[in-house]
Amino acid sequence: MPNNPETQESSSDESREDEIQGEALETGQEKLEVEPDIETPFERMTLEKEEREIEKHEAEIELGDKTKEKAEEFLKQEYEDRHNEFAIKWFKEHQGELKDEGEPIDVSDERKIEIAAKNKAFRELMEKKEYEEEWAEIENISAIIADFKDGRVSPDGLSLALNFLQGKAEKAERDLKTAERGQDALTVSQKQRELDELFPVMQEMAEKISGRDLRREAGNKRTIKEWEEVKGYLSYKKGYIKENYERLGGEFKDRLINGQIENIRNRGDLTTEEKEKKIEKIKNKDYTRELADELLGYQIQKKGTIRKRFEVIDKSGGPLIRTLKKENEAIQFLKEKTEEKLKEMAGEEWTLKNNEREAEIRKLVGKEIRGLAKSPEKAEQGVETVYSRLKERLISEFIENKLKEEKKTREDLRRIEKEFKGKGKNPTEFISDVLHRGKGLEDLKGDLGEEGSEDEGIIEDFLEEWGIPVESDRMKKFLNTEKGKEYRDVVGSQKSFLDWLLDLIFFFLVEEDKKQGEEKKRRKQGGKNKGKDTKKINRKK
Amino acid sequence: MAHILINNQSLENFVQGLKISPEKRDFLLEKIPEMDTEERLALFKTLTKIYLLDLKEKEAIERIKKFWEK
Repeated sequence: MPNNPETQESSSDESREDEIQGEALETGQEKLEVEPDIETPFERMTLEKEEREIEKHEAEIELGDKTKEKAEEFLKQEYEDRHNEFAIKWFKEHQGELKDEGEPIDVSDERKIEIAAKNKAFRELMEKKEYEEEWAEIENISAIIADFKDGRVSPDGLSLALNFLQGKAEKAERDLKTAERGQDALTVSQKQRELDELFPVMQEMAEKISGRDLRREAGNKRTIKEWEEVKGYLSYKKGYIKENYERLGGEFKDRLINGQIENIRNRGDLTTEEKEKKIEKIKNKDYTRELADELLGYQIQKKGTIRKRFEVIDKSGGPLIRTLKKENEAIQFLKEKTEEKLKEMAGEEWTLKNNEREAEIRKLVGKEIRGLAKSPEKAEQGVETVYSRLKERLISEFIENKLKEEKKTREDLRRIEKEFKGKGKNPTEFISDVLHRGKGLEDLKGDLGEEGSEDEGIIEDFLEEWGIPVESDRMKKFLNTEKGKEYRDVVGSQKSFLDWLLDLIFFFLVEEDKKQGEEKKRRKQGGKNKGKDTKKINRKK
Repeated sequence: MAHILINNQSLENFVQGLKISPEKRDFLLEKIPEMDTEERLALFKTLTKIYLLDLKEKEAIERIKKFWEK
């Protein structure tokens, strides 16, 4: 069995990693050791850092812990199954050669997998063109497992994961049907459990992708509403019991008296009026004793002659349930017990109906999940929905937290208009240059702030080309800030470096604003003092 | 001069180039001329994040297309 990927070694030596992978593939014992789409430890490190610093909480989807754990478990299982299926296929394809080499052919699947692994089948899976598609799928699963493991599930990763799990669910359904036909009770219960576990995981994933509440939507569908009406279903169990336990009592009573009423109706010696009178009498009779007997098997027995007492016993004649002094008290006791029983029965009836309703809803939700899992258009739509929600949220946060509420004065607006008019640039081009290290940034060494550093000149040239002048003393001041000191850590990554560079530019801006503000204040102060002096002079005059 | 990335035209270009809802786009375009430096810096950071999300979204859709092509 493959090891858990959590046991994966992390080595800074690339060749050692290759060695580990090679060994894992050769033995077939550690298939999950294969790395997902990441080429070198440095790249992996950089990628993780970027995700941590800039995009965490933005491009990831939060799944419930249980769902995350279960989904990861299912995907690992799928990863393992795909390897095993491949090994068995490989064994079949190479039977002849294996036989010539003296390997036994008529062996169990487990042994076939072992033999395939021993003969480097998994290396062929990775390297041979004819297995390209199978390997690509396995790599996809592996990348998604890595996503789940890191706790950052991308919207596209989630769509692909849902697609894999849908395939797994369909296979389980097929296996379940076969087992049902073959009356294989053990497999039936295993497959049913697998489907029951898969369903809520897939439902949450589908809901996160689509941003829809699939259960609520299904519950509101016309088919379900009609079903509820026909079946007299109520969402609240207590309400259902309250409304239905008396009906159940009535049904029992009807079953008891229907025969008697029928007999009266068939009697030829009575007039219609006499029949109705007798039927009315039967209907109005208190059937507490009969109901208690029917529902609970309880009966009342009179005891003693001088000191009478009434005993409630069960149908078999014992054991004694209750001793009471008056017959009325015994009847009241039976009434209470019968009501309790009827309420219990109404509760069971509700549970049955609720299970039926759940099955109907599950069918509808399952249909929606299947649609979301198997259609590329819906997967794309899902990705767009998730990103659109994230982007809208970012704008709303900006509007709520950063856009000032107070109205600006006419003077402020005039100043803003003057300050920010003029020809602009396209910031996306600027960002693209930074991300892809254009316009000289490709030569950055990471030595900013050091003796003989070339980076300062490179950054200065780059910014000046974008119309952003750099002042050496401001650069030094920034490099002494917490953010400035992160330079060496971020220079090797795309997005964190962009973040750093933007902070540098904004630092310059704020410093510029401060300088201008101080100059303005000084000028204003100078003007006031000048005025005061003039007044003094005037007064002296 | 460092204002060049956050002047009206640059910010308008930035907003126009992003994949956001028309309502939010119109709202931001209307507000940009009245924003002071502090608001513009915050907006620039937000728009940068959105731009990066746009790139990620594009990559994600390509990944899905590639996956379903098989």
